[in-house]
Amino acid sequence: MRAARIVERLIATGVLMLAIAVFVFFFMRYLPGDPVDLIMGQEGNVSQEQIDLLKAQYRLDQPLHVQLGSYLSGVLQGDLGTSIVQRKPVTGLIMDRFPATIELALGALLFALAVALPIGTLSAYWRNSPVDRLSMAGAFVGISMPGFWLGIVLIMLFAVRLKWLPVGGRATIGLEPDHVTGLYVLDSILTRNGQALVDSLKHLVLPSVTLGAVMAALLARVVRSSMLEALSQDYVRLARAKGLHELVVVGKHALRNALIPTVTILGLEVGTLLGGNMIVETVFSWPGIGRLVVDAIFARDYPLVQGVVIIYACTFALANLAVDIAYTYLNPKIAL
Amino acid sequence: MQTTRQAENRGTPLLEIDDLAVQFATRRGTVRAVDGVNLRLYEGEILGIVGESGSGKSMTLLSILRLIPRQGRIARGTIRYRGQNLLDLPMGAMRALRGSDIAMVFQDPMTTLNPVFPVGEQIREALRIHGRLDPDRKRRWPHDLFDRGRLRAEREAVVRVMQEVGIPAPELRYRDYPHQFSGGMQQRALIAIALSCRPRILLADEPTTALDVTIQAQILDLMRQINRDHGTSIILVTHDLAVAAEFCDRIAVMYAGRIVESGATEEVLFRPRHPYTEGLLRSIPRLEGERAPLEPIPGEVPDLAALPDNACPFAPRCHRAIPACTAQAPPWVEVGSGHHARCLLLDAGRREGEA
Repeated sequence: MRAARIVERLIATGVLMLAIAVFVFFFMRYLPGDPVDLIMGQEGNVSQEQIDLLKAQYRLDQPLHVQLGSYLSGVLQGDLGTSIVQRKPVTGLIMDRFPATIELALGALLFALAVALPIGTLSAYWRNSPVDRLSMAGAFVGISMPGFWLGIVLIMLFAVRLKWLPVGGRATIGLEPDHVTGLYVLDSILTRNGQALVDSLKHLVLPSVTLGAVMAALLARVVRSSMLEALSQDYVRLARAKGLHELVVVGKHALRNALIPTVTILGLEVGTLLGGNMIVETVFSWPGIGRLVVDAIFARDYPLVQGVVIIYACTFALANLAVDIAYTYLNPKIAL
Repeated sequence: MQTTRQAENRGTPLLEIDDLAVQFATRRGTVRAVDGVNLRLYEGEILGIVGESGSGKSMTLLSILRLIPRQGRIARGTIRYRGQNLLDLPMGAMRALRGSDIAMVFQDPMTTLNPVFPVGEQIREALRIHGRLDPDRKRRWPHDLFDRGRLRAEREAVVRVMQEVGIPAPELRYRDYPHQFSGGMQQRALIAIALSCRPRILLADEPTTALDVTIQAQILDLMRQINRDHGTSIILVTHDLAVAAEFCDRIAVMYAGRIVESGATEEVLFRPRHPYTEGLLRSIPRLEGERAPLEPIPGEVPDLAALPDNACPFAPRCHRAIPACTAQAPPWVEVGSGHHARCLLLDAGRREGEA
């Protein structure tokens, strides 16, 4: 039953991907300027023939529907085309950088949860206490702080002044772990490379904190309010009447219920992790697809932008599917 | 003539509540939800506490387990269980009593069962905490998690409790979630949780109010059977006099946070002495006898934040009130064997009679 629904959702996600591909295809071409102009513009005197030649090379001279048709048939076969500027297959370019983005997003998510769950829970348990007021003031600051600014402040403090953590990048050159999944932390563990593990974790800390800060603040407030709601419920009183310790009453009976609204918000916020990474990746020279797509947009590198957007959309849809699946486990009244 | 076995054979009470007061600090002032309640519960007896909403009956019950809402506090009094004052117990000792010696059944089973855990697991948890499944064995977490034999034994124990409270096909229903149970079955599951550790006292807070009438009768039968089979003492809080009449050995009537009359069920219901009890009885529709219009008690329940200290709280609504009723607190008068009422008129009447 659950498996059938998951397959259904995956098929729907595939259809959505195609629709997004079509939309991005037209939208990019609607933007003023085209890649050939931009390439040629840098090279000075060029003749119309050279331009036509280059256009023909990238099939930009063909009618739009023909371009679209050949692009979509490529996408269906897993070929996202060739980058106009970098002259490499888009799939390869994305796959080189995608793990970095995923690792950063997971790091940020982990940071957000590790901060939000205890703080939200304690704030609700000791509501209106100094603990609560301080945490919620902190959350307010966290929500209001722009990511790039927080990133710069963190770099100044922990990397430049204290020299505890690296300024940017994913790993110290020469210390990268052998490639297994592309996630450096995971690869270090899988290849039992302790040195690389410490190094990649150190590189991951500041970008994760920067990217996860807003989410942590938002989630802390959601956890607090859903925890307040849960703690006032009759089942919490029953848990106490059973003779359970407060830790079990709060950490099991109340928290399991409070997680339901929290996970809903989490699903919506996955987009922020992907969208926010362009700025954070730039600040921390993180070699992910956020920076890739920013460069590609400026160069009107149609196939690359299309490819990255499809990957973004796909990640977002799959993350939401994962959240929906988690939801059915958290809330027995909901079927997928 | 003794009307109940408890009246004959009382011994020492299992639970003694003396001068209990529960207060809530609100913006309008201190709400005295419970104000000077005295109660005795004897071994094997069923005691009913009746009264309108807001009369303090539920708060009295919750005080026994120290589960009153956090805005409230127990301002005075003692609650003695087997000689020790529960209000002085350290939290750990209190938790050890909750569920094992004194268990509670709540009013609304739908919201009281945790919606995210299977019903069977919620019963199993109750059995586990107090080590009733295997008392000799020390808890050895996390090894327990992987001990299949133990898990099976625990499941069987749960299934037995579910059977005892009349949940059909308990093996199949073990994994079901609360929303898959009917209201009556949910209440049975709650009773199973309360009963799982064989408590000596069962506190029942309007256990049948959320259920329809036929299910009400079944739940009451189940509780009576528990009382008979295990000798469990029960305190039943209800606003339904018919339920109290049918079910309880003794009745205490509460009004505005105080007990205004208490005694054996037949005494209180057939020879009520307090004007409030009389009023309650007159406001119940009767099926037999001549038809007479219902007589509701005039006025409204008083504001518990603005109760006068030296006056009878019922005086403004009492058709027999005299000026003295608003000038002094009414005395607790013995009006029969084990039958007491809190009314100035009774005291005056007795003195006149003696003279």
